[in-house]
Amino acid sequence: MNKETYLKKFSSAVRWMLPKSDADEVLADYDEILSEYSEEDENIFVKELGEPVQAAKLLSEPKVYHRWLVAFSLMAFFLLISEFLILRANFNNYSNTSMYIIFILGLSVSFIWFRPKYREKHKSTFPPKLLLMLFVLIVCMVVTAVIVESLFQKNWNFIPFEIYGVVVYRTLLFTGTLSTIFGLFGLIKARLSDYRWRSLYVMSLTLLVECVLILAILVSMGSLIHFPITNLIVIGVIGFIFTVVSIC
Amino acid sequence: MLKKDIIELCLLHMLSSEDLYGYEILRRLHESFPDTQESAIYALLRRLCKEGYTEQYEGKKSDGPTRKYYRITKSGYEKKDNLLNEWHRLRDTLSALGVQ
Repeated sequence: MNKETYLKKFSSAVRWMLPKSDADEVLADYDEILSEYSEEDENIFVKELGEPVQAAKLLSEPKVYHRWLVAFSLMAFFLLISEFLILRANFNNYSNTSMYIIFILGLSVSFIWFRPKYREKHKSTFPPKLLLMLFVLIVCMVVTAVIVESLFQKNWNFIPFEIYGVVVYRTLLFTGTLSTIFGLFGLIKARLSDYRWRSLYVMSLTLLVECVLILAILVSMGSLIHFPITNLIVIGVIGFIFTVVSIC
Repeated sequence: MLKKDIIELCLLHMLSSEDLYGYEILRRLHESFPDTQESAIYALLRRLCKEGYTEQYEGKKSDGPTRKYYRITKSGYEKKDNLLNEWHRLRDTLSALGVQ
């Protein structure tokens, strides 16, 4: 393992286990310490400093680290429970209220956790990958809305009526699963590199909740009268506003 | 008194003689405690700094590069004295029991 690889592994471990301000200080110190070793000392510094993850563990404060793990587990749980509901597609004894609660809690926990206290003093450049991933999610949202709406309106005669349900389910499943993956990725990146990645989590959770709400109404509905279109719009608007705020 | 306390005592003692930069502290202590990894010593150094027993400053000696130096604070001296008293008590207790 060379110095660069060591520092990369150590940096990931430290950023995961320590609050941002502490992680920055430790990495600056380690950068200085590692610079004292010559390039030929590869095996020596691993032996003397220990494996990167082990070295990072020594620096973490158990209480602070466990608090982060709880927050992360909660935020991940909100994504995974929604994904589970889509996969199961069984909405007996289900209430839309639970999805509204999940949505509000998910936004709240992400905003409380990645609050200004943990923000960088000097903003780094905006991560271009984040913009791309947000764009992909928006495209997915639009495509899903178009497919669902077109099937409702029976605009697509080339699709046999019998498979309308399957097409809608597969579309929602694809969008939901992609949102779950993107949401988890956003959470990890928000911790490891830049707090603005939380916007990917917010956007993913919004989309996921909307997918569950649509699927729930389609699976259990008797008529379209009770389709919660207003609620879907409100959630979409709130999610979008929070996504924009998260980027700033 | 744990090994951790002994290393802390040594660390504070070293800094009471002169200001040192991070790697120098790790190297010296690792030489005296070869079975303790430098990362563990760094964790102790960082904890002492966070608790206000030592403090960091940017310094430069002769033509060398700018480095982060550590110096002992007033509360660091008090901590060192407490650890030293504890060490003396432990040593006396062991002597009284005939442990050589």
